Amino acid sequence: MSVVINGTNGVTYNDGTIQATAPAQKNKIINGNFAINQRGVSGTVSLSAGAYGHDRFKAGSSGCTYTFATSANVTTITITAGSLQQVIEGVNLQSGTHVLSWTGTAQAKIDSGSYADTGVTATLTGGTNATVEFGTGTVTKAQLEAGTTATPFENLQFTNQLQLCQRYYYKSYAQNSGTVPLTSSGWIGSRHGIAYATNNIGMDVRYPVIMRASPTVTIYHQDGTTPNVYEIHTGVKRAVTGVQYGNDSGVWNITASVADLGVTAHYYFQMTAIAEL
Amino acid sequence: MKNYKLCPTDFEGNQTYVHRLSDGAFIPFDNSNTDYKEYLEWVAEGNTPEDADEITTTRYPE
Repeated sequence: MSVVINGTNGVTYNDGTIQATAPAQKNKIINGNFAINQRGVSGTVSLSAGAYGHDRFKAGSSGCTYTFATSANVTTITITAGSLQQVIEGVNLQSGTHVLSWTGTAQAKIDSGSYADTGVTATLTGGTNATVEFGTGTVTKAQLEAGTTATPFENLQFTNQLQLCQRYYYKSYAQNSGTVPLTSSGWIGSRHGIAYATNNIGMDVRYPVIMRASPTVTIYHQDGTTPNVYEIHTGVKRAVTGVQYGNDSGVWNITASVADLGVTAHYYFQMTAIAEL
Repeated sequence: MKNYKLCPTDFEGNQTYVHRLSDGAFIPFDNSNTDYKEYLEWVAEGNTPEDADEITTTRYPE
């Protein structure tokens, strides 16, 4: 194998591809191979405008309908109507030309550019969000990288990619469950709080990664209703009236509808935290 | 119909979250949160959220 290293162009491999920048973390698209599906979408996925399907991907302004299939650890999306887009956070972008590549028949665009086949380029501004959007057709291994030449798709470790997604979406329940598991063991994996004052439940919920912003929090009883918690010693469902303390790293205090919760009453609940763009 | 209800303030009296009644979510008063931006737009259209429930906060004895 011959490898040409050039201070101007970078590294040229024997198949003619050029690696102009360091290959690690080159892909600005998160979940470009659609491996992470925390919301558990399945079958024919019909999304209204702005609604999310696979992690980090949401429907464009006309909504989106798609199916997907996984073969040999490669998930391919088939968009049958509308468009699917990802907003890339500006903190992960530097100014310069970027190239968008993917495998499949769909066409795509960057920001307000025109739809075209793989190899779409655009000049992006560091620190400013950018949007990549795919039209009807198939797509997998989507990648946006600095430079003008598309390079092979960067396959991340599953955990690394999940953590990148968790900056925007977190759920307390199992990864293989798209919704709160409505079984007698639905409390497994739940968060935990203790009443320490009238109307108040203290807790120590820490997100696995620091989220993009203080997230929107939804609190579920183990029967899937919201906003409720399960009072362990009575089995009673208590309505939650508010969150008082939380930020991009966790939640520490919620309020409940019943004034006298009881000294050191304990509570289970499931939750999601969302800080999407 | 009102779509939002204020959450009880924190212990320092700060309004930190609002409750979105359509889905039960709690939205932080964080200018980077997209749901909060939508809430501000809703308020700017002349809408007013429901008042928060009045609660008492008396710490239980240790």
